[in-house]
Amino acid sequence: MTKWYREEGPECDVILASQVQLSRNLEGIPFPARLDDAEKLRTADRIRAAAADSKSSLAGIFRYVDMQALEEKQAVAMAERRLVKPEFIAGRKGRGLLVSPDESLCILINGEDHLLLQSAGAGFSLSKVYERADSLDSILSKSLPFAFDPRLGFLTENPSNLGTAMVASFILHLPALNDLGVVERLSANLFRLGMSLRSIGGTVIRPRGSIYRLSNRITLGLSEQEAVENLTGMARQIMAQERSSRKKLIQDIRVQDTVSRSLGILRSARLLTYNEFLDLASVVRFGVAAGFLQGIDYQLIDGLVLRTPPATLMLEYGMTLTDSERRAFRAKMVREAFQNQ
Amino acid sequence: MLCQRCGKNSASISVKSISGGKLAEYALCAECARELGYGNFLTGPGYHLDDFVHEFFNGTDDIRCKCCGSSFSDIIRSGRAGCAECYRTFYDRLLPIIRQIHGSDTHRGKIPGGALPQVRLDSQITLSVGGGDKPDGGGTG
Repeated sequence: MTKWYREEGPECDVILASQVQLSRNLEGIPFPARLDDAEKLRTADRIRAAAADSKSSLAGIFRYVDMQALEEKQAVAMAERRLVKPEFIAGRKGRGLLVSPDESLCILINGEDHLLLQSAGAGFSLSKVYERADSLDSILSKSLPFAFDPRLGFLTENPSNLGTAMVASFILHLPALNDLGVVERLSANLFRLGMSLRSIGGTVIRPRGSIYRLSNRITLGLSEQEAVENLTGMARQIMAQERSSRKKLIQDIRVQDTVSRSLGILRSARLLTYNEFLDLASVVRFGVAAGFLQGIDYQLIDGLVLRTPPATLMLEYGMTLTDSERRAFRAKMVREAFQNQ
Repeated sequence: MLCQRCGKNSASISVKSISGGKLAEYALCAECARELGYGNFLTGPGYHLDDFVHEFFNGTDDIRCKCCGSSFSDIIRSGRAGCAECYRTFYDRLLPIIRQIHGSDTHRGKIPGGALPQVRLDSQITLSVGGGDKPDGGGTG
């Protein structure tokens, strides 16, 4: 089955994906950080049984992945494609994942909280993505006693997530706003409005590729619908700003030159680090979105972004590769993909 | 150890990330962690641990959560509750912090097995990007 992230969604020139995460805990037992291995296993079994209940509409949807049984590169590849957070693969003992065939719906077990219900979709599709997470939550709450307080809402390990315990996000490509140097200010303004905008391309300290996550920060005092509406409204404004900035930028011959040179490197390079590739792919994607480059589709670029991170690349080739081998394999894969474009 | 992002302040928070096909760990100061959207409730905006300790933690730590055994200082030290029961055990002491983090202490969303009436916002939030054009329209990326 095609994975959700291989599809092209609405408004995909700016919005790569929409995601909703709902944290839930079981009443009467400590949060995962306070459980020993046997207790974690029992908790995981209980959650798996609820999801596999033959009377429930979830029966047969999920495949179970025991995180501890994975090879290191398989676990890292999951984090590279953002199926799980890096923290989730740090201590894999007692952790598990229930995942749908297209990976659009999954349940992370024994991470920070007992359950993290996760729903994702391509492009600008937050309402639909939220509805799916909400349905999953409603079904599971019939057989699992979720920890809840009428005043504080869903009870979570981190008090910052109390209330709806929902983090809704858009993954955005903002090359023009990044180039104009306004993202930092935008991020500070959003923080004051109870949202966060942070780079997720590259590493924590060296962002690459102008890829950002816009998400809600406040979970108490706002309903799920309000949070989704606020975030959607904000994403529309950012989308409009990004598009108008692209139109202005692409008029500059120096920018056109950068776009053309970047495409040239992708078509001919023999060695490519992932970070260099991310930067070049971002510029080429900008060129396509601004109407300067024709005949290249977003799926080609986004597909390569997903296929060429180090661990994912090694899985694709089925072998352990050195750093320089990875650069060569990556460049070959990119060259071949752009050959007929 | 200095913050690996700004190189100026002392690092106080460790953040995990993926780098070069491996799990990597970065040390950040509270300010950078906040800017990047990481950290626990004690690194929230306008929040100072010293003020908190002075105001809410008076040195007595004899009460423990009956479910997980956490004391109030355990929660403060880690920035994390040990279980759902911790919130009930330390309700009065946690409530001011929760209010400070969220600007509210009242849940308005879904309840298990049903949903509360959803209230729509009266006004639309608008955002000012500011900035304007960069003087030098140099290369994107």
